[in-house]
Amino acid sequence: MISVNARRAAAATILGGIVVVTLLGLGSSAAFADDEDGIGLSVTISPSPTDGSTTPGSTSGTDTPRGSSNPAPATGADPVAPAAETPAPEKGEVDLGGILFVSGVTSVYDWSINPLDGAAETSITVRNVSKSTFSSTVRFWADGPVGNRLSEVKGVKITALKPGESRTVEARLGGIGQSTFVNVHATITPPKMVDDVKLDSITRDQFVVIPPWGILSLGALGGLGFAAYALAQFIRRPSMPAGLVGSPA
Amino acid sequence: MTLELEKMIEEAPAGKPPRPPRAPKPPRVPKPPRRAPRPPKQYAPLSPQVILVRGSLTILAALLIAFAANVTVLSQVQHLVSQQMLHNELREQLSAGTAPVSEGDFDDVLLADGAPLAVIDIPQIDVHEVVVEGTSGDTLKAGPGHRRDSVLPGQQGISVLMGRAAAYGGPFGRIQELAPGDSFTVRTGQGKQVFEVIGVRYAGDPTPASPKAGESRVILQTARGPAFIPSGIAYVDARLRSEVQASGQRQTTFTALPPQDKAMATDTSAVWALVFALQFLLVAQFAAVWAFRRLGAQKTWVVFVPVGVLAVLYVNNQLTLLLPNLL
Repeated sequence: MISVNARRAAAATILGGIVVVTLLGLGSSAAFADDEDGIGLSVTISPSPTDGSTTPGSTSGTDTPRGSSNPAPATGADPVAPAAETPAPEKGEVDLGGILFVSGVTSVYDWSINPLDGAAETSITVRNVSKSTFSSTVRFWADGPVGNRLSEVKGVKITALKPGESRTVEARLGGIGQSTFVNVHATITPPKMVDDVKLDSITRDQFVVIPPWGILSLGALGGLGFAAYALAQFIRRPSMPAGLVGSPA
Repeated sequence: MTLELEKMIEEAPAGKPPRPPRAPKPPRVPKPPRRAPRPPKQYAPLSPQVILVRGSLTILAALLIAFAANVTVLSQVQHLVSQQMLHNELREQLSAGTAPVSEGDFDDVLLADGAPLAVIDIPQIDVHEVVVEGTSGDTLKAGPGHRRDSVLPGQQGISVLMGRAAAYGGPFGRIQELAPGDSFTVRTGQGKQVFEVIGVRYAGDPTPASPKAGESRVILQTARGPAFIPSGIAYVDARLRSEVQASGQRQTTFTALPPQDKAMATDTSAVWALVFALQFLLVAQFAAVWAFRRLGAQKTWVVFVPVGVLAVLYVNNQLTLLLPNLL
């Protein structure tokens, strides 16, 4: 039979182990966390591989990993995308009958050690299929589950988008926190007239589910605390000596 | 006591002092309970009406839970099973050269809904699915569907492929991530067709100009908005980059297209089946109650759990048809 002291020692060892593992987990998580500079918003303009190449009409580079060929991320409120060098559309690139084609919005959650922070790395790709070079602006924003505005980046410029050229624009929408259900939007505003065709702004949306890790961690901690309390109660319970049997009074 | 001790010391061998005998421990008195145990609650007997209402609400709650589980979890398994079977069938047809290239099969018999037509591969979003003929809610459970009034992918003209966004594998749930210039392939009975994405658009946006003679396009359609709560339709236009194939005959025109085959349509043509499914569920419930009273709990569980599960699955499958086909 295990004595009370032995059980207490075993319980103390288990609890100590749990605390050490938890602290190690937090430490490693902190090591993987992004550099927190305290600025909620930042913007990255990343030209697709076609931007800098001599064949702007070739296949868009979104099939390569995002950011693999990107320049160093630029931060600021008024960034400008670099222009391509050779405005020579490939045959068949600009006869689709449209002016500007876009992709949907793609968002990747970038978590932070601060449960009230966290960001959505959002991107959208635009393609000029007209016969003219023109510039546009993009506005990114994110709404919470009840339509509350979480973050917004305005006036991201796409300068000198040449015929047949594709360009990917990225923005970092900070302050996502534990919102869980997030609607990310991007609105592209082209010039009002291109090639004698009247253009309107185009909006694309994406619904993103972000695991509320802060709330889940609190719940897990609460569960661990309850388990520790139950264990302690179990250990403190008086043990009956062997052979002791109750007898009628 | 002292005398006994002295006697023991005298009797003991020299150099080893005797141990005094231990006094036995007094038995521990168990602590009295902190509070008196509660007496068991006595409930008033339920009236037959209350029992009926309680039973009905329990069945309704079980049905709702089973419905949610069916749409979110079981549907994914059903889709995987369907895809495996369709892969087997289409592989056989492709190797025999009998894969359909028109609305009829190799024997000129009109293709049934759910017949395998092609394999679509979109590596950027991890899609590898067998495309089936037809786009009703029931057909799209198996995989992406080809709208009957449009040509096959790769043939001259516009081909329309629809796919679910969340339930039953949600094969087209990520097509909005495709960017202009991305390429994907569709393998049909006429070979491998390579497409290049033109762009993503929503309902109401201007559409690309109609393809010229000798051109081929494909339009991928799915629901947009939160998963399982669709708010609209998303389209991905793509144009053929490989050689254009000859068009096969189509018997169905847009006007002849069944209403349940259109985007975001619900299928009410099989509501009668839902009525029968509900009747089957009710009969199973009544039979279970009768067996419980006559034969006992053990035999009732063994017999009626599979029957009840089957009835609930049948009802849920029919209810799913009332949801939008692109969900």
